[in-house]
Amino acid sequence: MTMHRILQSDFWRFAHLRPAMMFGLVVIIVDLFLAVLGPAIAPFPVEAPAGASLRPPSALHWFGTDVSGLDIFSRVLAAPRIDLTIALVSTIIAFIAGVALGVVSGFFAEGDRTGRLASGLIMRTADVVQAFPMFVFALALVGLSGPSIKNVIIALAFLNIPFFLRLTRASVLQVRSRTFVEAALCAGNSPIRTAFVHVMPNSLAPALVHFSTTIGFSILLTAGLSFVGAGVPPPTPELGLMIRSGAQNMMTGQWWTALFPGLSLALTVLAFSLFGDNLRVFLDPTNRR
Amino acid sequence: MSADAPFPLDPRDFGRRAFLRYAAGSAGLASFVASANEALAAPDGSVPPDKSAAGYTLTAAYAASPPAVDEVAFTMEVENMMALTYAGDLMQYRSIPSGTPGIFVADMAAPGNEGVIGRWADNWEGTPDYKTWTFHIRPGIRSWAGNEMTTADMVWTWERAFEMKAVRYFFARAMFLKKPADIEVIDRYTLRFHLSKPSPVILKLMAMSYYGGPFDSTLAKQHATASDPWAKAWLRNHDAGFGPYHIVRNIPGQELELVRNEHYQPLAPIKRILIRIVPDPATRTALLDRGAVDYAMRLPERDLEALSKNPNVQIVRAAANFIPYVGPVETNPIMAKTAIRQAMAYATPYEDIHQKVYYGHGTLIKSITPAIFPNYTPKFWAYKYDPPTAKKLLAEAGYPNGFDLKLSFDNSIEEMSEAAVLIKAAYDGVGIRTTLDPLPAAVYSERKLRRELMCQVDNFQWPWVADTGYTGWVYLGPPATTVNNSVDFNNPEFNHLVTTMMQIPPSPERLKMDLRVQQIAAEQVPWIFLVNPGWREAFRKGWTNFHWYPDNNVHFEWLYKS
Amino acid sequence: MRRFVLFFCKRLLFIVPQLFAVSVIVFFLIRLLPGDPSYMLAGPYASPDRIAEVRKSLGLDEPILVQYIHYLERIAVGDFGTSWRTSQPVLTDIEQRLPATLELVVGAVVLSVVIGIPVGVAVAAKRGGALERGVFFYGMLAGSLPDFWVGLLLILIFFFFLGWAPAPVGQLGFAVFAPDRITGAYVVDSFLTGDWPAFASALGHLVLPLATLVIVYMPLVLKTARSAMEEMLDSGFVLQARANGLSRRMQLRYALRNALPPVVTVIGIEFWFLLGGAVLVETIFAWGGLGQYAVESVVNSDYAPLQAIVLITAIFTSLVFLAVDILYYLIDPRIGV
Repeated sequence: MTMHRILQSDFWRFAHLRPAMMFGLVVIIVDLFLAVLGPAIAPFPVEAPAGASLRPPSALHWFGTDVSGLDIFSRVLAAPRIDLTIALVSTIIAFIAGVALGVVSGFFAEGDRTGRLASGLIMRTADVVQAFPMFVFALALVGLSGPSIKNVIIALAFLNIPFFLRLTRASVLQVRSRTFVEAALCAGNSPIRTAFVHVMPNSLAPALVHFSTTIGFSILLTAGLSFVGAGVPPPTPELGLMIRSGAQNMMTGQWWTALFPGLSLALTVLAFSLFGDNLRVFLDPTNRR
Repeated sequence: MSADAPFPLDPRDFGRRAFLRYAAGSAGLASFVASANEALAAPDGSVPPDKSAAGYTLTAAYAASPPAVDEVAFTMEVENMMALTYAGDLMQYRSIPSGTPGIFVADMAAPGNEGVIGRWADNWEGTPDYKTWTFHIRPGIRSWAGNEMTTADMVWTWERAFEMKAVRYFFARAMFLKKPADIEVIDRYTLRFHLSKPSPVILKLMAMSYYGGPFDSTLAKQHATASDPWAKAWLRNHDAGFGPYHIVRNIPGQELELVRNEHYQPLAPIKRILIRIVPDPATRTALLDRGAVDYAMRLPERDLEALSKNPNVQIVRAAANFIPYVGPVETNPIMAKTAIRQAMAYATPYEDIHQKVYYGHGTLIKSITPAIFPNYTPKFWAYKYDPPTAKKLLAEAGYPNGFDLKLSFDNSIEEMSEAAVLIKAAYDGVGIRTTLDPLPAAVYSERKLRRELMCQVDNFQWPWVADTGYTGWVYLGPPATTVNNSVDFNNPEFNHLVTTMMQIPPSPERLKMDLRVQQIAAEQVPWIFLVNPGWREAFRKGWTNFHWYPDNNVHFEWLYKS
Repeated sequence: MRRFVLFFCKRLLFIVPQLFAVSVIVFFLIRLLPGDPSYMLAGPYASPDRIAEVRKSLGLDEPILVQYIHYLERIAVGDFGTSWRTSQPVLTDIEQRLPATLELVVGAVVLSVVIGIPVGVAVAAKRGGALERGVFFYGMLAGSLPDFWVGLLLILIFFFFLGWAPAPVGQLGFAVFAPDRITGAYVVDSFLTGDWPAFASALGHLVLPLATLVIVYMPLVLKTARSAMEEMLDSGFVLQARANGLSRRMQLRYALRNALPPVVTVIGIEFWFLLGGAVLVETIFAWGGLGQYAVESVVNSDYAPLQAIVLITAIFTSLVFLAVDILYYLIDPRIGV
């Protein structure tokens, strides 16, 4: 896609007039860039001590150093790789599983016996999973199986499935009643094929929108889990972990240790929610004012 | 071997050797003279009578509540509470000046049993074969409930120990006491232990203050039921002790209140102790910094550094018996190779840890035997940070490209986290690709004891009994019978030596074994010794008369305001 | 009335199997994770046979289905097990800590409603202006702020630099005694018993944690109130009311009544979020509530409390959602059964 085509697209015409969306887009692009190149362009090693401990921000260490002498600026640059990996992988898993389940649940909601049973079962299970406050559940899952990137991904994926499920199901229920679906069935497509080949692509919009906000929320949740020690193990450069070790030092006056990671975290999550919010408006013309 | 008063000490008695061992931080003639004057003023750290009457209140910030006040749980807070409410068994180490004014220490370095005096016992005697020990309890010792200590309490306590099969039972076996029936009651205050083998360290074992009891059995039995004849349920949360303090309120996770036992001799100057549970060390530091509390427990060195700049805060220090170490667990085939462990010993950044984690305080450890114990020698510990030698040894052991290492530790202990980060960086540098594995305290404890880890950085050992044989036996003895040998060290000569040392009386031969044990521990390097930070506690200025004891707790019953 | 009863019964019928399923998940989840509490309970220096004894007494050597049945039996009589960290029955621990958490959560919800709805309505009613810009930025920002970070910042500013707030050591100041227990919530109890030193101390310590939660979670209510109001004010029937000459106030009243349902739903959702957010805030402020208890249980592999807390919060959330559904129905009976 050439620059010309991008600039002519509907998306760009919508986006460039909205500062919030542009802001979100820019930050997300920077984040992705850092996720790929962050550790390489970091001035200091990311997991090994780079200087004296607890030095305030200076020309050498732009964000100062933390209690073990690790350079905070380098770690903030390297953090997106960890946070985005966890968020992306878990959200993709949740998306795929949630959409698939949502399509099945929505499509077969009014059909034959087994279909309705399956659909109902899926919904009830989702209800049950959603009865658990997310953070406590994640805490239990990760905390007891041990802090590791893999466990955080699994816990987050599991907890996010119901959201994608519901959004997709509601959308499928609407799309399902349209004539082209009936036509597809008449043409000889099996119900399953109709569901996934014909109905699903037209019901993806809400789930896609939710994708962006979920990423932001997952980053926040990962940080929260790491903050209490049930997330990723140190000295992984993860924003919640940095705030955790920095919190100790904030109390004795070294404010930079927790401030910069926190700002980075807030900025990233903000960008994803802004982008997601505006994306929703873009994809739903009736909402535009 | 009897004593007329609890603390018979002539200032001329303490040797220079003991004095120099304990000089923590203060050096030079001036302080020597000053402390000599201090020593003459209160040579044994006893409590002046006018201070006893003062009735102070002390406020403290602790990191956690004790899970129980009985030997079924094991955290520093549990030890702390048991030391305050039960105070320990029949014997104790005597107190001598440390070299720093206002601080006294237990006499660990005295040869044989010279450093041990009676706590509840005012008279004790052992047969020359070290198998029969008679103790006479001093009359008039009363619990907080007013009941007098008699042999009945002692016997009930030991019978309960054999039933609980917990810590006290472990030490019963260490002193070769086979069954409660081996305790002979001579009269109301006299009892006699018949051991199945000679125990050269029984008096030092009895000087511990950590294994639950002796219980006021009269009081405890009032809370026993038909299904719980040993009052296990009640004694988990309540104390029936003869010690200087008594728990009056315990809201787990929030606060604790203790009041002094008015019958305890000498009467403790602090009448009331208010403890608030503050899990976050930074907040505890801040509280002390601002004068909101008198004492903050378990502060990492970094916070102590910050606090030392506050003129209203004092950091109390004394040499202690900590042995933080890196422990390759020998259930793993790579860790089982001595050459690998030696290579790691040359790759460990000792000085770095000493400076960055402990700010230069404390000392590098050079023997399994703490420096303040008798017969300590550093001469066998040849290791220092030397990456080229480490790489050479790795290559010779068959790992020229290094190997993958998983380093586990208790993530609730600040200093272990910080040390682990430094160790990882150093090991990565010689080809030992290290991943850190921080674990929650309980999980770490469990996996360590099950020998499921690959390599651990540990902080939680401090041998109580001032004896090399005991130290080697309790931490590195034969794995099949030694619960605490979490690194699975199994050296036949070492096993034989420490087992023998636990059951032969002192002699020149035993001394030779002592040195040989230290040598093997250094050469075979089951533990890569790190830094002994020493005892450090943060208090408001004004409090004085601190007593260090090998349990590393603050013993509040001595403190008063100068 | 009959329709309502039908609706209520049908919802209740859904709840029971749901709670049952929750208990299954909780039980198997915790049981199947690695780690063995018998080591902790047996204590240090315990011999292997002692540990085996403890394991037997905990019933951990039975087949897992049998264990589940016993678990249900015990829950039915309120026996949630014993915490090895406090040596107390878990139920007692929870009783001691629940009021503290409720103080925060209920307080935060009440303040969110009391502040969020009027401000949201005001902004919807009067477009443009400084208030709208302020609310717009605040709303955008607050949803992305990590609550634990906000708490730390508040402590940094108001405790360390300004010295206005008390130290984050829990619900009461150091030498202040807890008031006599009526509800267990210190602010309420000290007020009811006239214990003014405790009241002042409890209130002072409540400010920062409550502020943290409100700052971070109020925007949920705010944004929903605002967008629901906006939608209503633009709708046909309000236009009609205006055309008929009804006063602005009457228009707002009608719009508000119809804007309520999504607001009520979001209050339920806010509860759900707060139960999670309270965990982090409690940890920072050493609040001594259920959240902190949960974190400590996880970190210390204390299974019984963790099971109980997850179960109880799930039940609580289900009940809150049920209440929200009922309120929703009462406000707008068009919503289907």
